[in-house]
Amino acid sequence: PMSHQSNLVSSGPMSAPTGTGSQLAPVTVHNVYIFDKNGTCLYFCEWPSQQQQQQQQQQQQQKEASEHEDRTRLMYGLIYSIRTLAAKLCPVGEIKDATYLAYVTSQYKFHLLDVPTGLKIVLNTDKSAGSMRHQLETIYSKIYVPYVVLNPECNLGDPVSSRLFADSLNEYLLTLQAK
Amino acid sequence: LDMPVYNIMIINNAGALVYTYTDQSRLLTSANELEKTYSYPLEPVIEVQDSRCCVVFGEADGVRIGHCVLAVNGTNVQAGRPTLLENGQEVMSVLANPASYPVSIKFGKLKLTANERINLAGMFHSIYAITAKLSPVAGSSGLQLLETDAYRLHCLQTVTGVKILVITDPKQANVNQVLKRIYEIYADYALKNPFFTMQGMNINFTLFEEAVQSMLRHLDKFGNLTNLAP
Repeated sequence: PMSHQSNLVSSGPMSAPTGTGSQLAPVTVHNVYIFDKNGTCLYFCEWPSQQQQQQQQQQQQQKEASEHEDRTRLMYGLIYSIRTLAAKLCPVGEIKDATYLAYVTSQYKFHLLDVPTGLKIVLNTDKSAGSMRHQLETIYSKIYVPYVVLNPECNLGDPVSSRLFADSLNEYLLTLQAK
Repeated sequence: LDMPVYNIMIINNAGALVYTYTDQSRLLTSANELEKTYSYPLEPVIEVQDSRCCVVFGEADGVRIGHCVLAVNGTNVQAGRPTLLENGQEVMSVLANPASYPVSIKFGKLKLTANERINLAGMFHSIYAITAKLSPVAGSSGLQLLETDAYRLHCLQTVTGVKILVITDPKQANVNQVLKRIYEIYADYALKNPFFTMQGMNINFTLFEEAVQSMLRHLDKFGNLTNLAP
């Protein structure tokens, strides 16, 4: 495990190969969701900004659990509908590879990676982020697969409770935000 | 002539589709159709999805997931009901019957029907609201740009809740000008038209269409709309 982690840290700026400027620029990550193919939320983590942390401390903490569940359900519904919409609106005759999708609003950018097994990884970043396809693929292949899929303790379909996974994901995302 | 804009849609504040424009040159999908002959049992797994027969498993030789059945043994599918052939037989029963083999199937992409477009517009209307609600940061608008490998969808929501959608090539620039110009055309030729009602009616005015066409020709010729004559 130790050598794994040092590999991850040093491979932070590995976005070099396809090196467009935006991949090396710092990206603010707001939150991450991981859903399995049935819509169960396997993992969620957020990094609220300073303002939001103050607001949350002032608000009630009791409603958070059910609110979180509503949010994840809404998020999965959104993922399903937006994938259907994107597939149907495809204008040219060719069926293109539909694994990565992103949308931008006035305040944030949403990235979705659809893995061939049906797993969906969602990343919400600030709106100036470029394509995060490479980063999402790294999260899947270098963090999710080694720490969750290959972990005999982690059952498929159950929410991820591995601390190793959470820590290495955190570390990887911090390297994206660092400058 | 490769028009820069693939599709334009205008959705009113209730979520109904009131105008749609599709670039006709891209409807020629014959370049992306392919015909293959199979023996029993069929290799690609074909199922009925959204009332059309699609490949869901077993990509091979250019046949990909999402390809729809356009013809079986030379008989095309019916235009309004793609699960039936023109001779009345059901596609799935022909393919399930070993006596039909060897069978030649033509695969391609079926274009969207008008009903499907209306459904998609309604779906987009809800997606717009959800994306605003799910923002990790307070005070976000709904989605303004959807990026995929094949195209980009741009959306302008006006202050009255009308959404203007434009689907373009990913590399197309100056789409914000296009969105604004369509809004101007909508205001001039639809809203100011005394025969236009807001009750979800389709926009069917000659001058509106002409203005849209002239804008598209200008965009195609110059790449931007900066010197467009009013």
